[in-house]
Amino acid sequence: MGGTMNVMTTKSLALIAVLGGLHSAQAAVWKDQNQWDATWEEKYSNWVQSSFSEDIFTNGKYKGIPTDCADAVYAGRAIFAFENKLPFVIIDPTGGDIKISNNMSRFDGTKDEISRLKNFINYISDLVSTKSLPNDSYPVSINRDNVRAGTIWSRPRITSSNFFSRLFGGTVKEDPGHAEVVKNVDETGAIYLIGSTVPQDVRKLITTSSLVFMPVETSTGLRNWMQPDFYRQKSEGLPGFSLEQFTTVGVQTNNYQHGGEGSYNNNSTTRNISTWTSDVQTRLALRAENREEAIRRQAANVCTLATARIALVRKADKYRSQLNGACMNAEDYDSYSTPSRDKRIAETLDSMAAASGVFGFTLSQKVGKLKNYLNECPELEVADGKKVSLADFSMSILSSSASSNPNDLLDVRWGISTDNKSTCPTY
Amino acid sequence: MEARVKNSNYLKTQKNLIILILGSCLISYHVYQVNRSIATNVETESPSQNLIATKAIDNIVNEKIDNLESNVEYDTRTSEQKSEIFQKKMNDMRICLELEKTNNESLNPNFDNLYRFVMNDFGNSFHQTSEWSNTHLKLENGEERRIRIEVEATSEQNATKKLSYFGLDEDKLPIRIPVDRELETASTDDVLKKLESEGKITFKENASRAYFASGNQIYFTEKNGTLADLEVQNKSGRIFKCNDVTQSENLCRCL
Repeated sequence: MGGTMNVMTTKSLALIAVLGGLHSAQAAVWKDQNQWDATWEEKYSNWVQSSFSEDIFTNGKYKGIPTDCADAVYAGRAIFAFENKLPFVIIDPTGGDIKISNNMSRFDGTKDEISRLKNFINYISDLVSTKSLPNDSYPVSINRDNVRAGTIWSRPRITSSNFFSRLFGGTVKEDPGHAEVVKNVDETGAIYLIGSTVPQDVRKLITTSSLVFMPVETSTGLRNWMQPDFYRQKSEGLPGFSLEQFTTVGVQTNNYQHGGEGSYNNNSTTRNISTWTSDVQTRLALRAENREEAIRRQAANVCTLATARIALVRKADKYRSQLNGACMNAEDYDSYSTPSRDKRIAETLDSMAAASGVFGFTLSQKVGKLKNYLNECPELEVADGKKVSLADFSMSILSSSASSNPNDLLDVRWGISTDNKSTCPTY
Repeated sequence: MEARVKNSNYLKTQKNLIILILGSCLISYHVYQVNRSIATNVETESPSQNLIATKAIDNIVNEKIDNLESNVEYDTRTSEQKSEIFQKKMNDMRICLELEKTNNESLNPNFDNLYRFVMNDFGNSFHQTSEWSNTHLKLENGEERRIRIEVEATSEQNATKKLSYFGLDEDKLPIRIPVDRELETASTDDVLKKLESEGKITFKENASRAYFASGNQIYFTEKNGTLADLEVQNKSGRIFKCNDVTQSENLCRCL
């Protein structure tokens, strides 16, 4: 009985709070005039394809919004919701029961609606991360109805561990997660992703078509946004909900046959990033991608990744110059070094070589035969008046002569020179 | 069981009462708005605008009702019931992942007891890492605070544990309280203990991961010390996933 009294008191108090708050609750970042449904999702998808462009946060009315990868994903959804007076609702990552939405009143004092939206997006960005995305999205089945512009591609974390690290714990390492937005799915089923990166900064987004990882945990993968009503529904009932990308997608059956007397068939299955990516593309394709298209797509990825590297290395070089020969500390080294980016470029070159089927004993030999494709990319202007061809830079990446160390001179960073490598500590 | 039914009926009556009162208030409020628009002839000049305004208020009220319902949880399950449900789900997990049968009865739903179900198969060597945690506090002056610890990316290749400290605004939404930069990334356990000592803990949730030497993995969340969600993956890629392992409704899947 005491318990039920408490229930009543709490509900009554909450009711008073609702009624008391009615008047002030009219204030909001923007007021909803529409509600999410399949038609609005279609419009959102079209908007991402046409208007969620690489310079959305560096040009135009949304200029100046700093993002990291997860921020950019949330910000895109918030901007579309704002422009179309749709609700934007997400779970509070700090564990509160009240959902964070455009109905919040904190920014009422900001009269200009764009400034108010920017304040709201900055607030959201301060709270969300790749770890909150699984709560605000759900995995979908792999077909063109569900995987389209606007779909999220996310992994909350990568954990690198091996037998010994699992056993002793010492080197189990959690690497940053990543999130991007599907910008387009072309007719060959290739997925183009647009996104930001860490650390949070006002930056141009970049578009690539490499998926990089295979989703294993159900909090990862290709996912669509939760609409406000979806939070109250069972996931099974959500449009396109499926867990197939964690189980059956990418599974390849290997059939070993042994002939002669006592012949046998032995079936085993393989599922890895290569089989997964290929299966996803097949499921999304309206027609098969030919060899030329596959090579050109991967070459374009290398071009995008290398071009995005220019601004980062220039920034690092400027900072290095300001240090007047002193070494960067661990934090600065971490901010300005590019090992992950360089590794991704090498992996993409590997994908390009695989798509081409050219023969070579080493990856460098194979990529060397594909220089023409790489040189379709405009020369990389790594410093004022100093240009490097993508083919030359690619060979430098593969031979490890291009450096990811921010203490190195700019020429060393791009593999133009291998002299005078820094002796500063690396982290 | 009978008590649960009674309680459930009582809550339904309560809910109907609230909806009735809210409905009346909404009508009164709507009448007030219409009168106000007639009196001032501003803000709601056209029927469509009026409709939009009313719809927006409806949305806000609905949102508040939703929040009320999710805000106040009436967990009438006894610890025995939770234990029984947990036991059933662990048996489902055993079948899904083809684990050895264990004799575990009347176990509280927590990680240690989940581990008992898998230890024969997964082995006893594992390393546990924390993914994130939220701690809610009530200070002596009645103010509320929240502490979130999360592994955050500091660059493309590195991540570190970071502590964030929040108060609540008038909407009960978190508002960041700056802490010294050193404290953000210092030994978060020590900082957490210090901050926790400043008030009474009202809620705690966390997500962790256990890596087994055998290659198996468990991801789990706990709310106030009780196991909530879990995803257990064996080395052959089979997954047993549950949302709220103490919920009588079966929210588990074998993948």
